[in-house]
Amino acid sequence: MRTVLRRSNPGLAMNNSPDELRRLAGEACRHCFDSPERQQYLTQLIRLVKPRLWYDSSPFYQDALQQTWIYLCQNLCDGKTARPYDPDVASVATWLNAYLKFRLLDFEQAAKVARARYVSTYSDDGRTTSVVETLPAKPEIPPILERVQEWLEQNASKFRQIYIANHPEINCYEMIFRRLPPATSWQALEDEFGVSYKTLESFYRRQCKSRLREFGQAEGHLDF
Amino acid sequence: MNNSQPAAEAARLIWPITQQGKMIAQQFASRHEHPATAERVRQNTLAVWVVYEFLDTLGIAADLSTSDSWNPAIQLTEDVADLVISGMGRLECRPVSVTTEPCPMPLEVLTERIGYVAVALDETAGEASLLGFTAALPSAQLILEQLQPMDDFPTHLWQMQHAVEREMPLTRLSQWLGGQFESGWQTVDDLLAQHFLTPAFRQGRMSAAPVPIKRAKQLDLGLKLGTAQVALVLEVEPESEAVVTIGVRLYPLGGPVYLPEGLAIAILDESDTVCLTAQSRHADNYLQLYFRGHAGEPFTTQVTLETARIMEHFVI
Repeated sequence: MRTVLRRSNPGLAMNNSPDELRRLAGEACRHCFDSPERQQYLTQLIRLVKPRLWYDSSPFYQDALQQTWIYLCQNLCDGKTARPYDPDVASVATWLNAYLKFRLLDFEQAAKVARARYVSTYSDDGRTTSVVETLPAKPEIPPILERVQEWLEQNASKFRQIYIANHPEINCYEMIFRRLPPATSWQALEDEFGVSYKTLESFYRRQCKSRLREFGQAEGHLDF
Repeated sequence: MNNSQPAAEAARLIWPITQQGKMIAQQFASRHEHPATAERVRQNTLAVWVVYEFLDTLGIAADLSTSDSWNPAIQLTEDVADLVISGMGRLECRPVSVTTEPCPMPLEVLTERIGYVAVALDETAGEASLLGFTAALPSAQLILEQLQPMDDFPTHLWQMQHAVEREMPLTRLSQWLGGQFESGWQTVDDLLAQHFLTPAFRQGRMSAAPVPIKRAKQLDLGLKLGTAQVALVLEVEPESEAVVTIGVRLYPLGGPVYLPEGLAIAILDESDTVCLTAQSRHADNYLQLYFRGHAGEPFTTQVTLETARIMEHFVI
C-alpha cells in the first residue's frame, strides 16, 4: 500500500550536500517507477542538484539540461537507457555533469555540421548561397482571426439556431462573434441582453466554445 | 549554499526553456496579428511547454493537442495557459510576474481547472521558475506565498486522481430490476438522441421476453479520453432469484463508427482483481463482456485508453 506523504516538507531547506543528494537518490529508488513518491524525490533532487551542475553560456545549454533531467529520471534507479547510477562510483552531481557535458558537445558538433552545410553550396558565378535560400518558401499560414471569421460566416445560419431558451438573440453565432477581438466584455453583454453573466458564460462554454474548440483543433497543427 | 533563503525562494523549481518550446511559441504567436495577443500567446505557450516538459520528464502524461492553450481559435478568444493532464482535467500553467503580485486571473481560467501552477519566465536566462501550485483560487488571484511547493505536486495529483475514483457513486443493479435508475443512466435511445446515430447500436438482441434491462451512460468526458466519446451500456437479466446475467458493452458515440484502438474494458471484483478483459483492435465497433453474478455482489468496470482511466462501481 502507498503511504500518504507528509505535507510539510523538510527537504525544502536548501541542503544540497553530496551526502544529502545521495540520500535523496536512495529514497527515490526505494519506490517504484511512476509512483508519486519516486516523482516527489526526483523533483526534489532536480531542484537541489541544479546549483551544483556545470553551467556555460552555450546557446544549447537549456536543451542539454532538459536531456540531462530526462537521463536522471530514466536511469537513476532502473537504468532504462543507460547503466543505472552507482552511488559508490560518483556523486549525483558528478554523474550528471558527465552526461551534461557530452550533450553540450553533441549539440556543438551538430551545429558545426549544419554550418558547414549552410555555406557549402555555390552558385554558378562562384558566390556562396545558403541552402536555406534555395529552399522553396513555406506557404503563408493565414491569421487565425480570418479563418475563424470565415468559419463563423459559413455556419451562421446553423449557429443562429442554437440559443438560450426564449432568447433567440443570444445565440451561438452572436456569442462567438462577440468573443472575437475586439471582444465585448461579459459585463457589457449582461447589460445589453439583461441575462446574468453566469447564464451567458455557461451557455457560451457548453454550446459555443465546444464548437470553436473543435474548429480550432483542426486548425492547430504545427509545422514540425 | 545560503541556508537563510526564505522557504518560497528555495522551493522554486528552475526548469529549462528549450529551443522547441521557443519555436512552438513563436509559431503560435505568428498567427495572431494584434501584437498584444501575439505576445500573450507566446508567453502562455512557453509556460505550458515548460510544465509539459517537467511532467513528461517525471513520467506524468499530459496532452497538448486537446489543451485550449494549443488551440489557435481559443488562443484568440481567451487568455488561457491550460495543459490537459490525462485522465484528470486542465491544469492552468499561468505565467506570472513576481513584481506584480498578487496576479489577477482572467475570468476564463476560473472554470474547468483542476489546479494552477505559477510560472515565472526568465527569457534572458533561458529558464523558468515553477513557483508552486494551488488546487483552487478562492479570490480569483494567485497569491504566491499561498502556493504549495512543486515537490508536493506529484503526490497531490495522485491523491486527487484517487479521490475522484473513490467518490464515484455506487450503482445498484437490484434497483434497476425494480425500475429505478440512478441519474446519469439513460435508455440507449435517449443517449443516442443526443448524438449521431451509430450503426453499431442497431445490433441489439432480438430475442423475446424477458427483455433484459438495458441502460447506457456516456463516459465522462472529452477531457478524459481526449476527443473520443464512448457509451457504456449495461444489460441486466435475472436468471433466477439470486443470479443475474450482466452484459457490459462499449460503443463509440458521436462521430466515429469505430472505437479508438487500444480502448480496453475490464471487470474487477471486490479486491480490485481483474476478472474479465477485452481490448479494441484496429476497427472494432463495439466491445462486450458477459458474466453472471449473485445478488449483493459488488463489481467495478474499468475503461482505459492509454493513461486515461474511468471506473464505475456497481453492486448487483
